[in-house]
Amino acid sequence: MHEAPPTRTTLDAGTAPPGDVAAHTTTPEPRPRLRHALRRIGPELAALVACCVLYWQTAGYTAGSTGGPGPALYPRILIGLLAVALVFLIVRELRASIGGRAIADDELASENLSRRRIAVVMGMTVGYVIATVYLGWVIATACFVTLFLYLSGKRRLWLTIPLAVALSVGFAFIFVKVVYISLPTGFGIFDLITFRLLQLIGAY
Amino acid sequence: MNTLAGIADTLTSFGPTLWLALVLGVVIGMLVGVLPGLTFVMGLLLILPFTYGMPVDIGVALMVAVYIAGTYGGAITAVLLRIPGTPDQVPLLWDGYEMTRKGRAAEALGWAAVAAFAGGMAAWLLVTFAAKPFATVALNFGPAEYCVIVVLGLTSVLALGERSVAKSLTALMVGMLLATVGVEAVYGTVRFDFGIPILRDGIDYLPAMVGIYALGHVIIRFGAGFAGGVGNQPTRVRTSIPGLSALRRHAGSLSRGVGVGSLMGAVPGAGATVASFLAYGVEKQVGKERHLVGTGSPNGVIAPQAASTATVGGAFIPLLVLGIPGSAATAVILGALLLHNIQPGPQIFAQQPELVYTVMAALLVSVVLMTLFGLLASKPMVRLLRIPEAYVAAVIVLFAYIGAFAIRNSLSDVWIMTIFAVLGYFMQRKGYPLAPLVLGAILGPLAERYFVTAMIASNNDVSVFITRPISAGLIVAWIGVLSFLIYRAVRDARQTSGAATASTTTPVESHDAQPK
Repeated sequence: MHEAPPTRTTLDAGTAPPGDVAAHTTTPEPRPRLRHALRRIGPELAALVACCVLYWQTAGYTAGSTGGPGPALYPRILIGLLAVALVFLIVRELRASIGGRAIADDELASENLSRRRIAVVMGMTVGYVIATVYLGWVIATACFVTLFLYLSGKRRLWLTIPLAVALSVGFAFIFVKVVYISLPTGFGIFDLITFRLLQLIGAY
Repeated sequence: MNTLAGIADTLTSFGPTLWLALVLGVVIGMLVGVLPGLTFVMGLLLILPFTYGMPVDIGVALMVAVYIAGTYGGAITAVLLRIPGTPDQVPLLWDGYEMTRKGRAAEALGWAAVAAFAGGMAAWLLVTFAAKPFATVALNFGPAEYCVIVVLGLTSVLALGERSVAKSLTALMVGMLLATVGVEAVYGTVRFDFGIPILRDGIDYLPAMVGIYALGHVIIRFGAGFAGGVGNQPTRVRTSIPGLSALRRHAGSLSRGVGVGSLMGAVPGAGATVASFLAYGVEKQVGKERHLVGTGSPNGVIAPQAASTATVGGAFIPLLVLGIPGSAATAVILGALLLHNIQPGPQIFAQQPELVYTVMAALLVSVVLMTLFGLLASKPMVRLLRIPEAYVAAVIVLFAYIGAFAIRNSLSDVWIMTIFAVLGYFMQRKGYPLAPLVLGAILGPLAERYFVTAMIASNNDVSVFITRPISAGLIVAWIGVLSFLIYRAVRDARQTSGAATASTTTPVESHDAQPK
């Protein structure tokens, strides 16, 4: 009656891309149920701890002379409701996991996502935001678009690099000249390059 | 009659720039509808930075056009290629594509255009004739009434959710809690900033929405390797407009779709997708030709499409009259209005009548343009699907960055956008719905503001919510929605435990036993 809980790799096997070797591992290695359950409820437990921290934070919020319920009541109600929902989810998950079942609740299960690609695009996005601070929006955007298209399988650099440059310069012109948004220009030499470039295309 | 005269005056005063904005808006709306993954909400978010530098009437007209056309564009690809450009077009696959398979594509496209036109006109009529009387009533609303309306909206978000109530509640509370970060509006207390300047400024819902809807979509599609390309495209795309006798025969479906859409548009959290599915369900249950729905019946195209477009009218009324956005799309439009220092509310008819008439006139023109565009430009729009998705995704990232950055000319908002995109991805992986998160972030601050001001005005007497007649009536409605929510939660729990008992030998179960 009691089957070993499916490992994470088993759950992902149907949704993983062909190249993802780890996800194709279907050998159901027995895993201690409690450890498996704890892994499944990890985010909810972390959120519950965060609730405690946030509730403790609200102790310092006072109403002063304004009267009314004060600035702490509303977030406390929200924290309380959140904690109740989290406890319910944790208990349900624990009961399901210990009972040898897992709840299939991945909303993106049908998307055939590769975790490696997700990590790459997240890293690329964070890197892009940081790069705009130091390199300026125009240069960072040209680099980002080239890399993004390259990693998306568009390997013809003779096409993607000019396209990326045209996109970044074109966008900068429209938003700086027409919409009056002062996009980041970077530091040092990059600031100067961006300034000259925008001057050259008539945005400044 | 005053309203109609005001709209007529506004229409005649439309300058070339405004006409251009309307045409552009309709084209953009149709495009985001056609391209899979891009929704009208994303379309509105992507054009948001352009509206900052525009006069408010042009910016709003552009957004209205994108919004209404975005509810229709996806119908063309749903019917011809079995690709729903937007989630609300999914019901059109069942009968629309079936009609195409039977060689009736032109007829299906014609019905979709007629239904979108009827839905759009219903939306216009609703905004034109219902908004002002409702605003007169709303002038009697105080903070207590507003608070109950917002709480009613938040509860209906949970009641209408497709996922488990506990997960929807968690997402909603996370959204509402995130909105409490920063300086509190009434007391001026800085909350949950942990000494970080970005957090001290607060979390605006617009970058959060850009992160979740635009950047989050790119992350997921990149993660999927942009798989699921478009197959063979039809060589001939033609639309045939139905005749009068056919219109009379299908008038029932049309009116049921319009009715469902208008009603659902006003319900927070429901929106075009829920309305479209609901209208299809109603057609299958009560339609005269219900036995044919699902086998390639025009009624299966008419009802969901009419409902989807008609939601725009219902959604605009709470936005204009109460200043409360009930959907993600109207929240973006509210954001644009607030950035132009315009606060919608019952006084808007007295203080900004020109703006209201512009919205109404823009809605009317957009409906006509959308229908014409749909009838005449189906073929080039289908061809757009040949553009590799990676290029579109790269452009979305650029728009998303600028859209978030331009809100306050601050990189803080870009970081908030990025964090929300990542958070949204992980929440989806854990089965948490994103709609309650977003609506919580939008409606949460309003709920708090009205609650606190109601309590201060009544010297902390909570009976203020039940002693005022309108508020008491709204409380009764709220209890009704809450009862339905509790009933649904209990029913789901029973179904889940029933399924678990029946399948103890099956390693994986789904907790989403409730009907979609």
